[in-house]
Amino acid sequence: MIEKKCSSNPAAGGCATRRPQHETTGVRTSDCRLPSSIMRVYTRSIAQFIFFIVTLLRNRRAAGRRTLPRSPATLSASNRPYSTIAEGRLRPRRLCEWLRALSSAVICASLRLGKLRCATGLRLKNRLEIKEEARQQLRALAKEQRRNVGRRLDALQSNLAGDVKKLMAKTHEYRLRVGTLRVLFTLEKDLISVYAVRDRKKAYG
Amino acid sequence: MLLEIARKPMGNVSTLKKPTLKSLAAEMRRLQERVEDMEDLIELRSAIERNAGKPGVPWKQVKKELDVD
Repeated sequence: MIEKKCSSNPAAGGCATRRPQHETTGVRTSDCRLPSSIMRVYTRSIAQFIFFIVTLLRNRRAAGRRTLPRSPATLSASNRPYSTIAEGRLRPRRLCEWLRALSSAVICASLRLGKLRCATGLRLKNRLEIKEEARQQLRALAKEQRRNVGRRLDALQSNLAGDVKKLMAKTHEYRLRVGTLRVLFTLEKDLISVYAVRDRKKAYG
Repeated sequence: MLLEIARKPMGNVSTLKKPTLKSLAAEMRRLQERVEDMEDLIELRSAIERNAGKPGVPWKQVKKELDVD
């Protein structure tokens, strides 16, 4: 879906074709919602993790009260009355389960944080740097155009908004359209590097 | 539309829909946009080469300098 928007000031960009954000960045707010089945799995893993923590603490407390058996080696692994943490070693099976629960809980927490951020529209700001050449090109622009570009760059930094297009599928090269101006930048992880700001008419004829 | 022609074997060209002025204009716009994107890409790559190794200036600092706020 393409919606046409015209700015009142032709010098500041004139008529520009704007695309919805999800078409340009590939992120839709509805995509951030996790299916309820996945959420159930992760909620269960959190409960499992809490259960293991509680069990661990109880075992440690119990171990403090009880006396150690004289020959623990005579007891089979499944017959041991309490966790062997008190004896200075962990049961491998118990440790694996504990680590599995811990990793699930960490994944769950990160997913929930991501979902929360998507739902509330909160995002961590990207870092934005301007290369020397682009800075000179910005300086050469008219004040109104410069402010217009500035507003778009602010929006780009905060949530990658604007008429952004990825120029090649496999590389990190993008362009931002601001009226007749083109802001050419790369985006790697959270760093946006602006390399050029060009007027299409002047630059390409 | 041109993609459609490219996919059809030569013998079936007669079965293609007759191009209208509207479809041709849309095709023209699409190709023009593609060319512009390629030009942007070339421009960006040459700018990356020119600026290789040069540090960037943080946006906050540039904003203050250029009175963008």
